[in-house]
Amino acid sequence: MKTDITLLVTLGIASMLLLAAGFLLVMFTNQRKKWQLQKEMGVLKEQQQNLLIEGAVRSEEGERHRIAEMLHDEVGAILSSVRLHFSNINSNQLDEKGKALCERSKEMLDDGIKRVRTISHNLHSTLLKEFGLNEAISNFLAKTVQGTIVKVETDLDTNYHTETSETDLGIYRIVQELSNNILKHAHANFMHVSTHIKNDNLLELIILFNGSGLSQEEFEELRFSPEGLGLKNIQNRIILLKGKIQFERNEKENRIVLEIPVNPAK
Amino acid sequence: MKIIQQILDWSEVWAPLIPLTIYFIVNPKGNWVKPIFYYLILAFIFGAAIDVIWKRKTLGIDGFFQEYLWWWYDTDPRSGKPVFKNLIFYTLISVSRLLLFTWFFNHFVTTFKKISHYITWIFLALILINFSFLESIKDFSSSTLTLEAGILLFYCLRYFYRINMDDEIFSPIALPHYWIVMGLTLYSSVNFIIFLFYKYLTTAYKEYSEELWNVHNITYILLSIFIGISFYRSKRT
Repeated sequence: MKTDITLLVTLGIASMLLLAAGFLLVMFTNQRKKWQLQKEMGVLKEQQQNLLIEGAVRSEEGERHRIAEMLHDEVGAILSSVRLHFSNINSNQLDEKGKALCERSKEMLDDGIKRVRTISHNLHSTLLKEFGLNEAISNFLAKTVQGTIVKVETDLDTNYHTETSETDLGIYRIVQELSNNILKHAHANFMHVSTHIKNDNLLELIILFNGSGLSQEEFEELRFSPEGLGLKNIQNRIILLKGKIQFERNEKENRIVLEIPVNPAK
Repeated sequence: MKIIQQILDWSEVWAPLIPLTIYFIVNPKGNWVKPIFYYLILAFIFGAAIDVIWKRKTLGIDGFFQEYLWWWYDTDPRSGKPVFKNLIFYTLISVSRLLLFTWFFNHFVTTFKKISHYITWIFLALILINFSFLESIKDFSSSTLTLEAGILLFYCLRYFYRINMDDEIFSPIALPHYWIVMGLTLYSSVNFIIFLFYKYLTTAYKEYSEELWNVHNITYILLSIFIGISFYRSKRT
């Protein structure tokens, strides 16, 4: 009889213990599944976000291309045609005032044609496609920044050649955006742009400039504000290129460091 | 072996001191800490009362009991000797545990407050009826303790269900209070059976019931350790 009751109690305790342990195990398994699903959902969300960014960037590039073509082929062609007509005007028949006006108009037309061409090239760089990133950056900086009060120096890694033109385009656009920001807001008179290839698969681009720069915290804050559209574009391109950007503000020299994984051409 | 037995016998006194020590060192945060702290204080006081009464002869204070607390003595129906029972403290500990853990659980399962109020009032009414008509308050009440363990077990399962349904909780062990509920699940599930048979076993199989109480004490120590872990994990930074 004693054996029966002790066995019953022991079995009862063991079953209750097993039930509790089993319940906890089911709970743990369920939580783990939930965690796994959440992780997968996070990856999918990130993928979806990247696709959206990619779509936005592609459409922006398409629009840039269209505007560049229109400027070059239509506005540029009309302006060139007007310039040709002006050349055919016999200025000897004009009085002194008319001659001066004609010459001034020709100069303004030349300037207009030049500007339309620069804008068109900036919007859609044929240099980038034909001569690569280094040439495109050098050319852009020479044409856009040089000539202002900002002195520009470049030190671009000549070993850099990439197979993916989209990466180059992304980096080029980031440099364009950052340079424009420096010109507009930094009140700088010196700028140095350099690139280095690290471990054969990472492009490090460093922009040094004086004047007033941004700190990383300010960048993080501004890129979410409506005024920081350019910075948002930079961040989108960084996400798309799976890279990193770091802003450092110093009294003497500000730094912007970009790290972009690249597939170097063999 | 004797030392281990002594340690287990006094576990109802020293075990609550583990989480209480951690409480005073880390000063844990969270509204749920309060009921657990009160429970530990009561568990320590009642546990000390239980063990001091039980070990009064060994401690040499039996004379004090005979002189001042003679009115609580009963006569053992089998031996005819006077006996001083400490079993009321188990009932007190059981009632306070249920009330304080109900308060604790109400912090997490908000939809549960109304049901838990009904359950608490029904429980209190049942033990009042039990001690008025069925059992003596001086005796070990298997029914009270079993009912309490069953209710606590239900609360634990309800808590786990709520945690499981929460889409924002991915790692429940990161929640400090989760450890308390794990300890309480272990304690209630094992002791549900022990409490159910204990009264019968103390009269029919005394030795086995004493062995069985060691199991209770081990789960009680584990519960205290789990509460200690929980306090430690919710320390203020």
